Amino acid sequence: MNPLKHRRTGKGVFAAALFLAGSLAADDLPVAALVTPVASGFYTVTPCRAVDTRVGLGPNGGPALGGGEVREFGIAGLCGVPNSARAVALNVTVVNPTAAGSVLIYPAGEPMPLASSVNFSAGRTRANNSIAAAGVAGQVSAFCGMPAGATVDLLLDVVGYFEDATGNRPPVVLAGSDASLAMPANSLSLSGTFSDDALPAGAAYTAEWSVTTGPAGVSFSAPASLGTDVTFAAAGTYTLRLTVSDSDRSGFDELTVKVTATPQDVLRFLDQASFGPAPGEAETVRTQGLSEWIEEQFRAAETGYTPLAPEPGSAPEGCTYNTVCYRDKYTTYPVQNRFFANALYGNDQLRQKVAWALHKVFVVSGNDVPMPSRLTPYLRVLNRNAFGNFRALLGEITLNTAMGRYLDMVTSTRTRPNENYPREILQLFSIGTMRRNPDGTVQSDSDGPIPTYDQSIVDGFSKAFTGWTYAPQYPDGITNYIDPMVLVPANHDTTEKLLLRGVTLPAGRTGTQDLNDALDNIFQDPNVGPFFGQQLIRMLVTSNPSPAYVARVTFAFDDNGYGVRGDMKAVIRAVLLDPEARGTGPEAVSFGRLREPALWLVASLRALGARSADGTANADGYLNPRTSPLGQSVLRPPSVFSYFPPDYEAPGAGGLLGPEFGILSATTALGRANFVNTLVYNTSGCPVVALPCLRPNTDPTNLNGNTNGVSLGFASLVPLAGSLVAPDPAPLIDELDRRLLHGTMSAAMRSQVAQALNAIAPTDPTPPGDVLGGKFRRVQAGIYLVLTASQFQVER
Amino acid sequence: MSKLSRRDLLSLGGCAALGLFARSATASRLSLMTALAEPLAPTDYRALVAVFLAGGNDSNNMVVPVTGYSAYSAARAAAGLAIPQAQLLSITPPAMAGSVFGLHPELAELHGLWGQGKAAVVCNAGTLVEPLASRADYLDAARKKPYQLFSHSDQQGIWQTSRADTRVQTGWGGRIADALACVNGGVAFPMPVSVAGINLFAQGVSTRPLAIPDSGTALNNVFVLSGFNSSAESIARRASFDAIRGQDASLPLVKSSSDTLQQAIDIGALFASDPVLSPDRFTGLNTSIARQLKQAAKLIRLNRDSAGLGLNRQIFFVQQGGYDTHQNQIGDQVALYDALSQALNAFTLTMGDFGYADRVTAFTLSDFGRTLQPSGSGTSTVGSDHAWGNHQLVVGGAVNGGNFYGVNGPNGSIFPSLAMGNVAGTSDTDTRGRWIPNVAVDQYAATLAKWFGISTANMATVFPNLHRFASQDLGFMNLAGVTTPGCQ
Repeated sequence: MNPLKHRRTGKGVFAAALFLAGSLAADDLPVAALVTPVASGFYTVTPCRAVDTRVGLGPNGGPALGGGEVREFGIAGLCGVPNSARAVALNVTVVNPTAAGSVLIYPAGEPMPLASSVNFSAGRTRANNSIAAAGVAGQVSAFCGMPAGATVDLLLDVVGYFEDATGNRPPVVLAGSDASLAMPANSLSLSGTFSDDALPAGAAYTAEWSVTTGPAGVSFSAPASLGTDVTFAAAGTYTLRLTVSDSDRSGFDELTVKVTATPQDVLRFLDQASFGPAPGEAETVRTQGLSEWIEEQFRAAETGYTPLAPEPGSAPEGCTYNTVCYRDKYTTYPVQNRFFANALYGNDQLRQKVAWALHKVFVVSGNDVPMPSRLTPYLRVLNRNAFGNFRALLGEITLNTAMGRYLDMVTSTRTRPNENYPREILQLFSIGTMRRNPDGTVQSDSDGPIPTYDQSIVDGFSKAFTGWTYAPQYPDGITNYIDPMVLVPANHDTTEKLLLRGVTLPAGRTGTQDLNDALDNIFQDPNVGPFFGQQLIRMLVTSNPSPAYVARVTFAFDDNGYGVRGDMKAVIRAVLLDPEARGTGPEAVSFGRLREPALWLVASLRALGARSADGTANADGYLNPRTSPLGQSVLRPPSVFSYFPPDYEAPGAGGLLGPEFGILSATTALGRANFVNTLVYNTSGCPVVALPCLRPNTDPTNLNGNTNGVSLGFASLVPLAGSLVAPDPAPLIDELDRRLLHGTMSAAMRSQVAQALNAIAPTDPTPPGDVLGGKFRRVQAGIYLVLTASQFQVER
Repeated sequence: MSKLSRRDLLSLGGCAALGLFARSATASRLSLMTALAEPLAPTDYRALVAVFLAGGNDSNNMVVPVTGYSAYSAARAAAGLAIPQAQLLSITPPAMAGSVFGLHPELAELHGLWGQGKAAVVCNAGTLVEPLASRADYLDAARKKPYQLFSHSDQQGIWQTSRADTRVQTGWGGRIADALACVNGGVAFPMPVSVAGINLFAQGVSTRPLAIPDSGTALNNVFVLSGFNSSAESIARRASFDAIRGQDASLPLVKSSSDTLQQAIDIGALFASDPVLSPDRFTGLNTSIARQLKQAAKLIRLNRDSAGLGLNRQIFFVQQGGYDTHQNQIGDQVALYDALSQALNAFTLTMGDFGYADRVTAFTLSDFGRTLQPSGSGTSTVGSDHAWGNHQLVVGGAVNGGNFYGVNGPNGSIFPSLAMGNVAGTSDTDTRGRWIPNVAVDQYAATLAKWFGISTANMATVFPNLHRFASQDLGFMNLAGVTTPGCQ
């Protein structure tokens, strides 16, 4: 048990005259000197949102507070706060203030105090802690100290309450000590205790174990007993709660169990959550914990794409076709290099991996918008919102100018509404064409699958999205792709619009109102969770998730545990820590996904410690010419349908989906093998004689791209390749298995690799006749066989 | 299965027998071939060759009315976009009741094929969701129109998918291949082959097209596994490489990946030689479209003669770019049509050399037609803008050539009135001469598919919107001797 953990029920810790209940007059400051102390106890609750004026209308909801308004909110009875509570401890948050001001929280029915609870300036989100006595009927009042006409949204989160230290007290529970486990050990005995004041008379005690936080897949052998065994399906950090009730009141205590993943699971996890485990990384992450790694990645600084100065749409004189200037300003070359460099070496691996997935959903193609200065703002939207809220992402991507250009919203006007963006945001970016259950399965009726929308709704969204165009030009008439699109009110259709689920937007509203409400209408659709969640699972973990897995991700999308919908962090945690992705889940034969060319290439290079051709620096990321012949020119998908169809079936796989198989043809499959041959065996043009490489090209005027080339970290593997004295290549095979196949290499495959390696005598180099030596050639052969194997093409 | 029993099955003639063979053959014919010394020729060969004119072909200048030349001339002569009447290659399609037309002067070889009854024109075809009989229909908001009219990528997509109502991820070439897969027995070689990269047209639900480079790359250099030699180390590595490909077959995705690589290696073995065309009808032609058609011809030859192939159906996709003639149309069209005409003629002659004169049909597709009203003026700059309905060429010995085909439009003819704007009989969507198509892509494609052997029952699967159109066979294909394989 962590003694510093504050989420604790029990009077022992806080019971004292900590809080002074009673009448608080506005001028009674300081209050402590003037009121009669009453002994009370502080009781924490799981942080719980009691008021949110942003959601819906209602007693504890919207609308936003207006300047000068006083509004009462009932807290008692919510969030585990009993009606007998004397005061509540709140976290007060203000969102979207339209002007500077303050909000005061005080007991309902009491005079307003002078001291504000939180102060803010326009547009800023601010939060503060506040303790407010419960007033009439357990309510608190909120006063909005803003100019008339200004508004602010208010959120009140309850973190605890004070109650008189008399009468029946909740049982004081001790769940037991925090614990840790290392997979494959995955079970633990728990033994909780409690004490109580023996009230009420004849109290009947019941106990219940539950999971407060942590991945799914926890089971208790006796969840209603103080003593139980608990079993974890997946690695992670879990908070387990023991609740004891005396039939009137209940108390609880929590403990933390950290379940360390198996080395294999950590390697697999890093393949899913990053661009592949780099040498040595898995050991660190295993100690750290998968959840902790994810949280650390959420905070990691973004590598991303550097903002670029605007450039004219047509190359000016002196920057003509077939010049380095043209290549750098008018082709996707620089951003493609940046993508690979980030993927290979960026520390924000999770953000880049998720942003890559988002790019494949919210497609803008460099085929249509090739200029780096125009594509970069789009890529930055994806990076910025990867760990934000899906609604914010929808909003930013909708007004992104490259998207506006790609799908024609930038020219959509009242008189010529364009259906392209409205159609794709529905079909591809958010809900899909068919109504789905939370588990992703399609809803059908007697006419077959139930459509999510029809032409009338496409028309409605088309009208709602009219009127937006390029932000004002830069000097010299340079079109503005940096700033979001802006509204030209005269071009907005102000008639009524039909949206999803029968919602209509009334006539006569502004373009901004229509846009925001139309996006809210999409965001609130129950299809978003299963549709988007399923796609994210397919891109990060497995092509064929079970409905239950999809449902768990949908629930995380719908509610992050704190009542927030669309929290990307919650969705990402749910995708990556699900029992189907962790532990023994991946043993299912249908598990896995084909590595697409870009991810296949980068995972190979990361696992093998790739650097520049001379081994002295990071490779510079000029790799698109390698993946392009394999069917994937990065950041240049052929259409808004992305690089491959999301519903493509893997050929001959009994109906299993394999989207990435859409670009695996006989040609590209052979291309992969031939690329590996070059990567592992090419020595032509390499700067170091005994280091095979993808040859560098350092001529700065070379229009095909400058590159410092690529070489693998062969050196760390050569010592494992056996020797003439001890010729067994098993250590090398083990290491390749671990680095590339998460340790899943079958005995049969191991035997084949060993046969090939044993055909090479493990000699040391003897130049000039044998520059590399047999040990080195064993490493080459081993890498060749694993990188070309379907067992590596399919990540599982 | 012995060679004799295979022959016996085939000699039953019907495709029911072929289907039986396909179902019973668990091994691919590739592996059977190791036991068979002599090639298996196709028994009922047919090929479709899609020629995509990318960018939007201005067929207003490809097929010009001579009878009534004045309407054409009035629209185009002043801006310098009209082909002079005297230069046109005269044709008199029987369907047009005595009216005279002219082909573009650079289409001399196609004009020759027309004379031999091996080339036909399908008039004013385009993307349609449902028939639109008039300008009023087009302007009626309640009538369904194709998505994103006049947009290159979308209209190219519809021409390749035949789905003007929604975006889909399979093309009609690929869906034909799905339906007729059984006709090719167990041969592990795709029915559709693109010589112009991966494209939607040839993508099926279960069919994956093969994409190969043009004749600039010899067929025996197309699928070559690099990096192995005759050293003992290399031989051992190759043996393990091959063995690993057969492992972990209980994992469906792993097996699918392995099978794809196996297909490449098998095709590499089939492409062991580069067929020599003799005579080489492509001699002297070095345009991209000629090289693509030559490569297709070589693969047809290889299929005919090579052990291990012997497909009964093949579909090819080739593409000629440069048709987006907003400017410089007069000069550009000369070069484009010259290349197209010569390449299609060489290809047709080659098919005759193979004994496949009436077995192979080439046909054009294009994004859209172009406005009759020019954009800009002056011969060096004048061009035309994106429009809709368009004339298409169909070439081959099985074509009922020397004629026009189509569906009557608002002017009571299969050839559109060239009257622009809101006047009687017009097909114009606005004022610039953007013709509302009389013929849907679906009808055009279904006529070809019927000749290829798609059954009536399968037509609805391959062309889901076909039922909306009255005529499902435009009549330009000679169906004599056509078999409809029962195994589909």
